Amino acid sequence: MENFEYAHPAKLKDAVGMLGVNWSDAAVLAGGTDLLSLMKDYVEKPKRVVNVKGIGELEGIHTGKQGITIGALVSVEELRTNSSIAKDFPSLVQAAAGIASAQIRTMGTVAGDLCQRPRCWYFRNGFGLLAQDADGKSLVPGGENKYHAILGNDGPAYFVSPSSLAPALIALGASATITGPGGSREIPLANFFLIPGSASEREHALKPNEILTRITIPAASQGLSNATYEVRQRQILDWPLATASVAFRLDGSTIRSARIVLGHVAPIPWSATAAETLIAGHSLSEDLSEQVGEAAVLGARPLSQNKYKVQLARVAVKRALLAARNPGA
Amino acid sequence: MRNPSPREAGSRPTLYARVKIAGKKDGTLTAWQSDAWGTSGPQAQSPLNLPYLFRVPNRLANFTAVLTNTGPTRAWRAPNAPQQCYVTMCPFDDLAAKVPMDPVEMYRKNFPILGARVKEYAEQLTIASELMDWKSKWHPRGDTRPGPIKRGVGVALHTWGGGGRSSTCQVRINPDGSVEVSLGSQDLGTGNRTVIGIVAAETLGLPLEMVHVNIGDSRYPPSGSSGGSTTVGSVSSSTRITATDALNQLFAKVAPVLGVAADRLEATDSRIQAINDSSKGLDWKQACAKLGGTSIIATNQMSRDIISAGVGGVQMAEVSVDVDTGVIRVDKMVAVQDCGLVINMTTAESQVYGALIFGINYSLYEEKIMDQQTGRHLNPNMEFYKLAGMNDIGELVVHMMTGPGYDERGPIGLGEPPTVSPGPALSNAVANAIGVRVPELPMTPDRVLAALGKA
Repeated sequence: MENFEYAHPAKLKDAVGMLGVNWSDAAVLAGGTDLLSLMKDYVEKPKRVVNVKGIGELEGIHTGKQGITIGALVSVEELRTNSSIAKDFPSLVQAAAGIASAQIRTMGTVAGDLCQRPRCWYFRNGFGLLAQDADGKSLVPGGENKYHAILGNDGPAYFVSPSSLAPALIALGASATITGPGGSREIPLANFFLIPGSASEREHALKPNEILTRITIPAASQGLSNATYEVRQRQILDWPLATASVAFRLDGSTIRSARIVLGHVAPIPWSATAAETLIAGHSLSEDLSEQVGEAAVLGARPLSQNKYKVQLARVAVKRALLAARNPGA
Repeated sequence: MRNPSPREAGSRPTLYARVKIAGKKDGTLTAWQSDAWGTSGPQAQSPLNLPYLFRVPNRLANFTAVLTNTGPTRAWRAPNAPQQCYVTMCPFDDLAAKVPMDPVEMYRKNFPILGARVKEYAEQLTIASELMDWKSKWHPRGDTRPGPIKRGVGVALHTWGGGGRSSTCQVRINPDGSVEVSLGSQDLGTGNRTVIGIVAAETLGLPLEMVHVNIGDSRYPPSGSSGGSTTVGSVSSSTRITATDALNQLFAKVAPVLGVAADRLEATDSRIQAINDSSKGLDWKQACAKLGGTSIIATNQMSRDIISAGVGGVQMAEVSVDVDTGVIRVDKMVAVQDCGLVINMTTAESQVYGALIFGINYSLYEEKIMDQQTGRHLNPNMEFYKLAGMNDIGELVVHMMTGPGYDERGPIGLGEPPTVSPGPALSNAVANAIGVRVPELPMTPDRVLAALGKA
């Protein structure tokens, strides 16, 4: 780990002022479950670390007319055990429960889950976000790519979005509030994640001097049937191989306005729009959920070692749909 | 875990093979042909003998050592045996499926060519089958029940040498009754200190807490390193012999006081007394007080006469496989193991539990990923070098063979043998569940789905 300057402001405004114009100027520290590993491995070498844990305005889960707001510093465990969340959004509880260990859920924050850097082996070994060799050629297509992207992988990005919560939140129509020197802006969470086109870009919409401050799930999302299904090899302390979060409104037994979002299969949480269109207006059956799973992976282009993830994504969609229809089954 | 540890510690040699196996309709093996290859990194690998254990009447086995720049090789519990066992017991199980025949029965059919431990295997297969409830759980290959979760059972068996290495022990009996046993040996955490203490205490007729064991320091008399499952054989032998020497010296001191010939004395229940006449005796401390100002210091070496080598073990695994995701769950493993005379049941059983967990890890999770383009070890950390968590392990049942036929052989080391069979036992269980062989370890979801034709 390189030396760094440490700051722990008490106010959001001050924290934003301590960030820099370049990514290497400063890093935001909350739970630290990702940042510390990145710094120890010399993947991130910020000149300044800004600890935001003392900023009260980033805390808490609040229910209001607009919906539910989740502060950036809410821990994953707090989210998992919150009664309002549990009542309306089992998909979020399921996604939170899948995160690593109790220790990481307790330390890690919601914003940290959304902002964590990709787990790509090459990125973590110092080859950069796009995993390029000295000539700028990606090491992924001809390398060890069994955990890499099967969708949205036209290049140069092949990593997968590591967030467990993002697919569930996007399926629920959540928005993200971003605060910078000029104030705050709110964008759909789906637009927060970006596929970088060059080595100088990041995998999200933040600028170096901005902080993700809260997530809002709209009140209109209450009453949606929703579920998350993760495929993980180990039962704990393991990254999902593929996940699917679904949310839809039932009109009798007919599905209206379905959202289907895949995780760990693309550089961003992947909205399966063809699958969403296919399911709308139909009554959910096992056969249909299988077809929808099939539609969700249309256009998948597996790399040399990850064809199996197409099957996993397909199954995750099917199982999430069936779980949303029969909560607790 | 610091990255340099896994990067520099070295790798287990690999083994791959193309195997043709032939047998009669009654299940007896008649022929074996294998083309095998593997790497020990930049070092030349000595040829690995195939098949493992079976003395097949017609055999043709080629082995090609491949040199790679993947770092040095390093001995890995039961060097080469888990690989050889896997490459042998999986084709054997495939042949059983083809006959078709219950593999437990097919092992019995092949006892004439299964080597020196057949008597043990015969007993162990019976015990393991009961503990696994094999007869009710085994089914012909491929679980036909509806739904994506398929269950299956598998079996494998193994042998290992053990034996002993040079070991020198010093036993000191002090006039205050205290006893010190010193060896330049080491406890890897598996109970070496406990075993040394138990052997000395039992020899001297004392409770364990009366014996102070000194190990882990090169100032003590030299004792062999831990390797080849030889530690317990070595130290139990040298400790037994040296403690007997020291005790004989104490008998010689006490004999005139009691008016009993030294060779008619025994040490039991913290007393030195005449054999068959406990009225002629002294408490341990009273006896040691007769030493005056001089301690007894005995130094001697191990002897292979009171230990043994060569053990047998049978393991069975039960798994549930999700055929839509390729994820395997271990439901249960049974290990039946002999190691001659068990000195301490708790630490012996612990060795076997540990070996099963070790086996689950190398069968399902552990894999060193080397990038072919850059030569980098890509997963040198606990995040991506996967190991089982508690929930991934399932129920483990360990049964140690004891009693006639085992105890009188004397102690035999146990560190390695139970690590040999888990790979093929689990692979055979998966094949029994899903109907096809996953032909590689670890059996990760991508490989399971590929075997099923779903990836």
